[in-house]
Amino acid sequence: MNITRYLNSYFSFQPENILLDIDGHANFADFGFLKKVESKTMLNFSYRGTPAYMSPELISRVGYNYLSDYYSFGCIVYEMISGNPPFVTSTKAELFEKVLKEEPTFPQAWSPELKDFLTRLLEKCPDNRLGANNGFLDLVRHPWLATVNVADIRNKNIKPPIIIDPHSHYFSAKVPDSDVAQDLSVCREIRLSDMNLLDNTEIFPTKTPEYVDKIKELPILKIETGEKLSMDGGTPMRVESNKKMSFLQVPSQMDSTLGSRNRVSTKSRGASPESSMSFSSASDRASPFNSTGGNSSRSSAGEMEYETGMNEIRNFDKAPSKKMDCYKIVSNVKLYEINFRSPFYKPSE
Amino acid sequence: MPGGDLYNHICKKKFTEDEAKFYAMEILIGLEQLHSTNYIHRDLKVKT
Repeated sequence: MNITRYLNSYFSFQPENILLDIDGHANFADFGFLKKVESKTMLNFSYRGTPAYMSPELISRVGYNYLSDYYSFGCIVYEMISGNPPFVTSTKAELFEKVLKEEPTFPQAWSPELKDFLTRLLEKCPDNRLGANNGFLDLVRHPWLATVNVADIRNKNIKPPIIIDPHSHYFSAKVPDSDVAQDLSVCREIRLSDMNLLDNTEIFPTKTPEYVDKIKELPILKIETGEKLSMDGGTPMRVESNKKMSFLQVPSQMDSTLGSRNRVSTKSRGASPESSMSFSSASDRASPFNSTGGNSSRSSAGEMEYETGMNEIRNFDKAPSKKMDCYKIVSNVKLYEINFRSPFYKPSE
Repeated sequence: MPGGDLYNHICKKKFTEDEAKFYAMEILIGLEQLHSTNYIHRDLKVKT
C-alpha cells in the first residue's frame, strides 16, 4: 500500500477507493474523509462514511475512533470473499437497523479462522473489537492473518494474486506517469467518427494499444461541474443536453497556454513521438487538428494535447454525477466518446 | 490506476481466502500507516 503517493493528490473521481496498480498491488485512492486526530483513542463525532461500511458506533453517533476503520475493514474482507458486504438491505434505515442489532452470518465453507476474524472485526462494541488492545498487532497476530508475513507484504515480496493483463480494459502501460494512468483508467473507450461518414465510426476500447494513441487526440476540455462542459483556453464549445459538445477548433498553441507542469509530465512520460498521432486516413482529411496546429511539430503538439486533456479532466472539482456515464465530444469531423464509470466488466466475461 | 478498482475485480471473481488475505494485509498495512500518523480513514469501502 503506497499511501504517501496519494495523500497529497486527493482524487475523488472514483467512488471506489481501493485501486490496483499495474502489478496488482492495492492502493488507497480517496482520502476525502480522512481525519487528523489528536490521539488514536480520542472520540470523534462527525458523521461521515459510506452506509454499507459504517460502524455501529459511527451510525449511532456515540463517538468513534480508529476502531471504526477496523469495522469497515472487516466489511471489505467479508465482501472480497462473499461478493457482498455483511449486511445487504434495500434501504439505509434497514441497513443501519441490521448493523446495530444483527450479527453477521457466514457461509459454512469459510474457515473457522476467517469466521472468527470477521466476527471480532464486526463486533458492535468497539472496545471489544479486534484491535482494541494493541491495534494493528491484534489483527496481524490473529490466526487468519498470522500465516502472512507482514514484512513480505510491506516490502512487496509476494506476487499479488491478481495479475493485471496489460491488454485488459485497464490498459495504460504506455503511460508510466501514474497520475495520468489513473485518469485513463476511467475511460472505457473512445469512439471516433468521421462526421461526414457517420457509419464509419471507429471504436477504440481501452484494451487496445491503439486506444492510447487515440486518446492523445483528445482536445483540451475542462468539465467544471458534473453537468457543465467548457473549453479551456480555446473556442467556447456548445454544450448540448445529451452531453454532446461541439467545438470549432482545438487550441494550437499548447506550449504557450500551458503551465510548466505539463512540460514536466510530458518529459516524464516519455512516449514515443511516432505513436502520439496516428490518424486514420478517413479522419485525416479535414481534421481541425490538422488545420490549426501546423504539421511541423505534430508529434510534440500531440503529446501536449494529450497531457493537457488528461490534466484538465483530472482537475474535476467534483465527480460527475452518477447518471453521467459518457461524454461524446464532437468536432467538425470527429466524435469522441469517453465513457466514464461504465461497467468495466460484463458479468459473462 | 491501471489495475482498476478492487470492486471490479471482486465482481469479476470472488476472492479465495488466500487472495483476500493478501489484499487484506495490504489494505491493513496502508491503514496502519494512516493510524500511526493519527489519521482515521473513515471511508474505507470497495464500492459506493
